[in-house]
Amino acid sequence: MLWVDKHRPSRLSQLTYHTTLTQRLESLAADPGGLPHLLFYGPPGAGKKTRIMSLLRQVFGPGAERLRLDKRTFTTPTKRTVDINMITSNYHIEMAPGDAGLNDRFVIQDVIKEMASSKNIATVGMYKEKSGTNDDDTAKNTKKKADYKVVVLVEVDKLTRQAQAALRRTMEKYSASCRLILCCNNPSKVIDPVRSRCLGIRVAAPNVDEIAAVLKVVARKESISLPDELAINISRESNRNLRRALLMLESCHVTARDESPNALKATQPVPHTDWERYISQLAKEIVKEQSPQRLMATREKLYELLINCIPAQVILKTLVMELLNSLDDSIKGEVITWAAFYEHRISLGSKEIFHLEAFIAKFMAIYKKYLADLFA
Amino acid sequence: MNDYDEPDMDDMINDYIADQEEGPPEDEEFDEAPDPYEFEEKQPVNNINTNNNNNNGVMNDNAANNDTAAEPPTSDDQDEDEEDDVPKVISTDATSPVAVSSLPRNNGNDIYGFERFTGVTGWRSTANTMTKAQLKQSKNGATVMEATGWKKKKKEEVLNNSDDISMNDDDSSIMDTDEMDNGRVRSKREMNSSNNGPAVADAQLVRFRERQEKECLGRTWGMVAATNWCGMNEERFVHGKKTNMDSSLPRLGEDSMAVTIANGTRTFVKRSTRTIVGEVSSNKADEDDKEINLLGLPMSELIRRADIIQKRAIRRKLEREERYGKKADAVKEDNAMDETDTNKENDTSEDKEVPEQIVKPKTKEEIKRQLEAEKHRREVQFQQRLWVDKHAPTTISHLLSDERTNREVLRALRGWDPYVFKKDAPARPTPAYTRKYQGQQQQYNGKGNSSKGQDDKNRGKEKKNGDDDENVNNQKVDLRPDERSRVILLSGPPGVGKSTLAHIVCKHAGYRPIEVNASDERSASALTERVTRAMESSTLKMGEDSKSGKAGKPNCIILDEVDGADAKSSIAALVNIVRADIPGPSKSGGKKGKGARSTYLRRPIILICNHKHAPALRPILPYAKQFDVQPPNPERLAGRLRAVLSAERMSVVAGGMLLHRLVASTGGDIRSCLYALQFASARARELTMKKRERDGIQPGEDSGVIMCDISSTLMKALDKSTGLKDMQGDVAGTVATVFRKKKSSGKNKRQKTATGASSLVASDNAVDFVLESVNHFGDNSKTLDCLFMNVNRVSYVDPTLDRCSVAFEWLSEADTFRSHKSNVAMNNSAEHHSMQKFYIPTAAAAIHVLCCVETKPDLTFSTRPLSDMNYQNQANVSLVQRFVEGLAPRARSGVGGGTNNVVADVIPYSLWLLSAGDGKHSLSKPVSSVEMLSVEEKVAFSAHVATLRALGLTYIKEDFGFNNARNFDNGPNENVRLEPEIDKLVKFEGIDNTGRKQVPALLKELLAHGATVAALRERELEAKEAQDASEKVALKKDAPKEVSPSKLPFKASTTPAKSLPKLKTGNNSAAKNFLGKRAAKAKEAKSAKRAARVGFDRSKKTKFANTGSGVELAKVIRFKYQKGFSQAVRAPCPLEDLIN
Repeated sequence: MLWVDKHRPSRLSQLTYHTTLTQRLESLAADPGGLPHLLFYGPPGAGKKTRIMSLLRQVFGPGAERLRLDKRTFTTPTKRTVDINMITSNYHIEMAPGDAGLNDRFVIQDVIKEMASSKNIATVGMYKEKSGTNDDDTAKNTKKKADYKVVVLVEVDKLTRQAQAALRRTMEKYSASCRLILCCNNPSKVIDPVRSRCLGIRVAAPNVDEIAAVLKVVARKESISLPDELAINISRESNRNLRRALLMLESCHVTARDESPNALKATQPVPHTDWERYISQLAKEIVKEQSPQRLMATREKLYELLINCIPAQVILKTLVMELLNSLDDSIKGEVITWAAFYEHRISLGSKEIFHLEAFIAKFMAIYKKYLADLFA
Repeated sequence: MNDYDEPDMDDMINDYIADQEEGPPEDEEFDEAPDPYEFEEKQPVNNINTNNNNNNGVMNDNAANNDTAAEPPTSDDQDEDEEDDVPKVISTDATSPVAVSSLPRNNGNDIYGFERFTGVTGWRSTANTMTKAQLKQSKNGATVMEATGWKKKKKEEVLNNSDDISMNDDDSSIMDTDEMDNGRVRSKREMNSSNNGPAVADAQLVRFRERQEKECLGRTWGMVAATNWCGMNEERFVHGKKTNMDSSLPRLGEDSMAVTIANGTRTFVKRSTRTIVGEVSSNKADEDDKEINLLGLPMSELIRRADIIQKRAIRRKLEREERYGKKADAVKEDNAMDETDTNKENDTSEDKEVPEQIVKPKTKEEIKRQLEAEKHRREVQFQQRLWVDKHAPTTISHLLSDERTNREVLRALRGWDPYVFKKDAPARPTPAYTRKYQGQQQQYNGKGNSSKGQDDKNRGKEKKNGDDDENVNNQKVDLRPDERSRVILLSGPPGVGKSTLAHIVCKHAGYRPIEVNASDERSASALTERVTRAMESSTLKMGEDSKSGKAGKPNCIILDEVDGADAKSSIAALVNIVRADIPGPSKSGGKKGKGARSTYLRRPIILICNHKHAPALRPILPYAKQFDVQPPNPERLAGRLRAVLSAERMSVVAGGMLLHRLVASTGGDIRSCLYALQFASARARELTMKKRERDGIQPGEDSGVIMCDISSTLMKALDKSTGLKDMQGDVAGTVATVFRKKKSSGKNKRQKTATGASSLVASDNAVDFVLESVNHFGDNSKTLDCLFMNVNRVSYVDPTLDRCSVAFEWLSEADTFRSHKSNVAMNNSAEHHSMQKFYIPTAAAAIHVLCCVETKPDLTFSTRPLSDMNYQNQANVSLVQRFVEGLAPRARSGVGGGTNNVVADVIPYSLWLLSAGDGKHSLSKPVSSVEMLSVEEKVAFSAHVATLRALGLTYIKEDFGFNNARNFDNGPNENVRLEPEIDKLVKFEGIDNTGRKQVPALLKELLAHGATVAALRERELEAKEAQDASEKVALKKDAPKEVSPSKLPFKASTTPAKSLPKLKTGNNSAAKNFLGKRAAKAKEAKSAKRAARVGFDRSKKTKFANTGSGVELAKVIRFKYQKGFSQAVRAPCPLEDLIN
């Protein structure tokens, strides 16, 4: 198992950073009946999912950790079948309805109704165990055990509007038997009515020190000696993405098998993903030359990135970050404005490359003007 | 009366043909034109019926008419009857085959005859064919009164007429100077009065036109104008001007024609046709000089033919009198006939007033009403028809498409004759006959019809070939045409007459066309069935016919619009049929395929498409004889249009110019030309009517026949749009428009040099033009993509890249409008659509303003990169999906959550994790066995295997195949790859990943093996855990209470050692525990069988279940496992209920 998963905290008490948030969650879990719909949001690798799972574990007990894979086939009214993978336990279902593309509405309606139509099996247990509960672990939980099931929807920001609209009513109607935990990166892509029905929980990205601390913990568990420098280095390189930091750490471990397998050098280079390197190369080219020909060349690169499934928003963001490195402060603001503008367009438009390239064209124009002002 | 001539003309044609050819030209119409006498037997019933009580029994009359007609005809009736009945009367003459043939077409068919006389090459055969077609129709249609039959006839008539009329127009209406007209009128008058030769010719022309106008359109017009039955007569005579019916109007029964004098007044010229015989010769020279150009035939010839016809008419009349004279009813009728005949023969301008007085008023009224109703019905029916149908060509010589193409297509179709018609050998012409026929034709036509003659020759040649083939056939050889030309493929732009050509050629070659077009189901199976059935039914018919001696018609399948969307599979099916050989030699001879079950091509197939290079058609191309049908010659098309107009009683004052413009603007699309004309004429008619109303002309009081001039409306129509035909721009044109600066806007060039802002003020004109052309193209999305592809290719002046960025901003903006993600798209699709319609062209206009260039830009019109990207992206998305699905459940929930994360982080780093690494712990040694690895390497090895397992990956050996050269070039490394090959996702051009060392292929195989083993072990472990758990549970026999089933699974399998002791144990029996376990187990187990196998008590060795599970039989509990992702609620119930 990858270290990311292997050392993922499974209880709220094990969470290391965002302690206030953890406390809030614990207090929520203490009264499962009063658990509202939740909307977790925050950047990738901040620990949203970990918190959700820990919360579930807290509410439902260890049974929520017993996962299995399920593949469901839905038939839309237009007789199209949609396959959706979902991860289920006895208490919850986790799925990414966004995978269904435009048919996500039907998936959501179906699943939530189905979930809501049956009661949680935990209530049965509660009923049965009412008399003789003296076991330490269960005793603590059973009394407050929730009598609902939970639907965890990840990547809610990818849902179509129809699907989100379909959520609205069902969220209220079935709240007695079914709670929703939504998870997304960008809450602004969730429609207001849904947001209003949820308790928003922002999971901020951990800062560098927090990540480094986590890395050290993991290293210790894996009995690897991790120099502080490398830990800091990794956490910097990871862009405050804990998942990535852990993957980096593991990659470092794999690649650096020089002397001893369990000791990492402080100077160990941190491996980067290819697509990031590709984008930084692209950024360099853009800064170097601004011309329609260059624009043509960038198009090819954008094609390649998009073909390899790198999401357009990620491309744009990474590109802007790379560009900002080599920009004067005076135009950073403008560039970021336009980046935001085109990111919005990406989310509205149908062909991402239009907007990516439009951004690059815009950047070139801005940069050219900046250069012209500089020298003239 | 004009109508008196109708039968004559019919007869004239037929008889003349008969005289000249002594039978139908069988090589052409051997199937269509069986001996005319042949259905003489069929017809009489019908005919005589009408004849007996006819008088007004027009071909479309109903029973009521017949009833009233039984009354002795009144004079007024006679008039009417004379018009309409005479043809019938004659036609009903059962003894005369020709008459029979004339029956169905009754009205206006004589025009064909006239066409013949015009001497236009090909008319001769036209008329001929027509006749036969008529015959055929009447034969097929059994009753002439069938609406369809009637329609068909109408169509034919009108079309043929139209050509005829065009000739008339040429000489009379088009050169419409005053003097000319007046002169003509005068001369005609003179001619009429003097009965001299030229008058006859002219009169004939006039007469034909008149009649045809009346026949084809009189009814139409009558609807508007005529309120009483008499109007039917009158409307032909009263034109334009308010006139006193009694005096200035031509008298009823008078042969007269309407002539427009220059001042617009309509006058009527009396005309007599008596003079046909004899007198012509004196004027012959003049006539030839004057008229040969118009008629193409010497007048003498015309007259001679007329003479023959005349004589025959008399003869027939006499015969009829003999036959029906006894009957009381018939007498009167015959009197009427006599009168009419006399009229006709003597060309007197005798009026009908005397008979009119005899009319019984009641009968008259009745008849009037009935006829009116009938007329109205017909009018409506007729008016509702599209000109395209109404004036469709009916014979091969009428086709507007290139004659050569026509001929070639026909010849290709004839290639099937040896196979299809070999049983009909007697019906086919001998070469000798062909020669004779040609000789006759030459003699008859003067110049002769060269194309026709050639055709005949060809046919003769083919015939010979066919004979050869037939001989060969006896030696069991496939008689069908060569495989390379077994089907015929017609391709060409829309509206050039491909379908018409196919149908006509089919008919001409003696087939019954069976059309399968896009409206029919054309799936592979449906098509195959259809084709097979068509081929088989004709086979049977042929067989039967060959016995009875009657020529049945084999089917010919016309697949129209084959380049449609669903063509692919059906074309494949078709290819199979085409390729199939005739099964056995035994079946190829004699009656072909009677017992043959398998499908092979037995009949010709004609495919029609717009683009023969459409991908769907590719498979059939090698088997098809391909013909490109080109748009017709503009001159010819314009001529035909003029003819159609005349037939529709429309005129174009501006003459050919306007029509030529129309033809040019439609790009030779006959169909759209006709639609345009029909549209314009409808408008013109409306205007005329209004004007007449304004002028105080009562619609009823004068005739319905109004010559409308459509030139103004047509002009308007032409002017309003840049082309009547939609400017169906292609991508190339549209995109070029956007990027190419319009020449007229040259002065903007100077403005443009200053700043970007000033150039934004491009001429509105240009913007409008771009907007329009983008709108015309229609496919906005495609336009947008193309623009996106080209914005960078065009080298407009843009030093600051401002234009470029703004252009891209526009594109980006426009892209949001075609997306379905926007709020508007979600909530209001109509609005979204209109926004799309508006903004995307606007973006194009903006780009035009920003980026247009003077010179021809190097543009690309392929959006291939975009679609390729999409395609590859799809493939990769599914790859990611596969990867995610392969992840272990926990990893999936964690690492695999969210595609973005997977692609951006997990997969790239997975590859790092799977790299060989550096140093002595690296997995870089290519070894063939794990034992050869060092201790450190073994650690790394097992770590690698663990990673593989965690990610659900493995290595597989890729089978390149022995002929792949890459194998040898790149070494064996290439052979072993990840499965799923997620490494594809991280390959970027120009990014070296040398830092990430590859594990050697040999080792990869070992690793893959290791992963497999690990997987097996895991599974084993799982199973064992489950078993352990169950056994543990079983041990706790004296557990006091049942365990919450929901809790159990987790404890049992994840941390068995820890959780099991914590299981509730009560005073319950083992069975209860078992059940608790069982219930939980059920949730995870996929089959009840497997669950049952996990016994609850193995120690007791009594009677075991036959499943081999070792469970005591008495204790086996069976229950059904309901599959589903969520656990249904189970109501609590005491275990005791379940046990026992």
